[in-house]
Amino acid sequence: MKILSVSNLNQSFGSRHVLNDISFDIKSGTIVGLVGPNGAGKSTIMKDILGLSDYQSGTITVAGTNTSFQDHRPLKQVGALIEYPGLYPFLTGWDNLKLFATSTANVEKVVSELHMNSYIKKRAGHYSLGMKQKLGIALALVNEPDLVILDEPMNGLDPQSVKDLRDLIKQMAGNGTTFLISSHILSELEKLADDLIVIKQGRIIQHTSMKEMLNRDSHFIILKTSDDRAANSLVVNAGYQVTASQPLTIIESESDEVAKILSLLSENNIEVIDFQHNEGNLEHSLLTVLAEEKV
Amino acid sequence: MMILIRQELFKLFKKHSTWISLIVMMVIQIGFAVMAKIHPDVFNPQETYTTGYYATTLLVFYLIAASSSIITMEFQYGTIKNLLYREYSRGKIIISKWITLLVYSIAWLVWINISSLLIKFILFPKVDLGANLGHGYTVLTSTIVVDLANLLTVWLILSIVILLSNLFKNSAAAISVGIIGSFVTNIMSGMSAQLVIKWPWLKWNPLNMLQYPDQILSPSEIHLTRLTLTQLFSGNLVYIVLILAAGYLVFQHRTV
Repeated sequence: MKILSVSNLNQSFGSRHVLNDISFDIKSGTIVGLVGPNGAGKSTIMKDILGLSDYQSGTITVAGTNTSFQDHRPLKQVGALIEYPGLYPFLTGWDNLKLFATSTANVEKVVSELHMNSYIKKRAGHYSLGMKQKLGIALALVNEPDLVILDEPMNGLDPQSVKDLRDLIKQMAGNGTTFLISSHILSELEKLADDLIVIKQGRIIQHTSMKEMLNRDSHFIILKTSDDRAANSLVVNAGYQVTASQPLTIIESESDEVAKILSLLSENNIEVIDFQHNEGNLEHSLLTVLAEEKV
Repeated sequence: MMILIRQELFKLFKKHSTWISLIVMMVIQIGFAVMAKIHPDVFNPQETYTTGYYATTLLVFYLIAASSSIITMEFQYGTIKNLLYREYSRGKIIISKWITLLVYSIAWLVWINISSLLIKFILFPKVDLGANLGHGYTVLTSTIVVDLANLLTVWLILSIVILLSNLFKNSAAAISVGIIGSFVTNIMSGMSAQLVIKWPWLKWNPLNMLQYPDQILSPSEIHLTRLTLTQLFSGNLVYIVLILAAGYLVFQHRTV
């Protein structure tokens, strides 16, 4: 079932066209990463979905009901953190949550899940950057929404908090909550997202699964041998693609290639001193996609 | 709507400045009451009672500050996003803020009247609340009627402050503009009377409406305002509605 559907969204700021025919659907219970360079239009898409900014044309549907700049009723089951956490500094963290929470039990639950008990009764104005970020995330999650929109949620979080948040998002997604997350921390997104929407200059250039995106990337074999120069000649003559000679880096195009290369070197009395297998990663795949696509 | 009003009142109740302003108000009331007790020739006990021991003057600044910051605060702290992305329309959000300010204004007025009565009974038992002030008013009834009339004219200023605060994203700037604006308005209101004498059609200008509380106790002011009390009352209401409606329209189109 589709929880969010964006269709032919167009938006301009004056003469500058920032969103061009943006269309995508998101299925319930999935974690979708929204990625792209700075200024690509990620936050604008999120703001449009949330009715925070107005757009020239297009439709946005949340759980089957149209939502717009003026009519927010379908957003009842949506939680969000956009750009930076909006907090009342004169209220405690607890009161910030209580203000928007539908029940005290929900506040207690999210505070416990995000490990905020030690400071939640202090005024938010005295919080560190990371504490404020966590409280902003807690505000998005407090009413157990069906759809959560998070813009750079990992900003300012320490490693333990990043892991706690990742675990919580996965757990909530497992229970049916849908997440649309934009992040420049691609290593984190790689661990989280099921699908990816890549945006460049206000256009979607890829909407794919994380698995497919990672499969786009080349896998490398990196070798250190007793005679790198001879090894280089051998593998090149055998038809392998070498991208660097120091250290010797070979593109792996088939799964049994490692065995064949090691065997070839062994037959020619070249000793392998060190061996590394470099898997594809989101950063490399994304940069490749962005470089390939001309908008 | 009730949830939004409750949220707004919760924020006001939790602000330290709300409680500090209450303490400051009490200190000023008690201070002027003591002065009136010591120097009744300078501070007439009956007149100081009718001003709530000068609390009503201070109240105007409190209400301007609250009106200026109730919208700008949300932009300053980024909390406007939390308000707007929920299921409530922009219209409901701004109306809830108006209602909160009205409740806040009335609560202050009730507090000032109760505290003034307490001070009077403790320090000035001889001041007669039933004394006739003319035009059918006693000290007590004139105080209440003028307070309510002041509430109406203050709301004319507040509606302008709320409209202007839509232009700012910083509470301090909005409050400064609001308070300076109220001084300018008072000065211009005096000038307005002179202009009305010269060009009678100017009697419908909003500044002339601010004379409403004065004219209640001094009906002869009709020669300056050229409007009856009913016309002044209605004029204030019409201007408040029009200016609030303009603020409503501006807020409807504010993006984040």
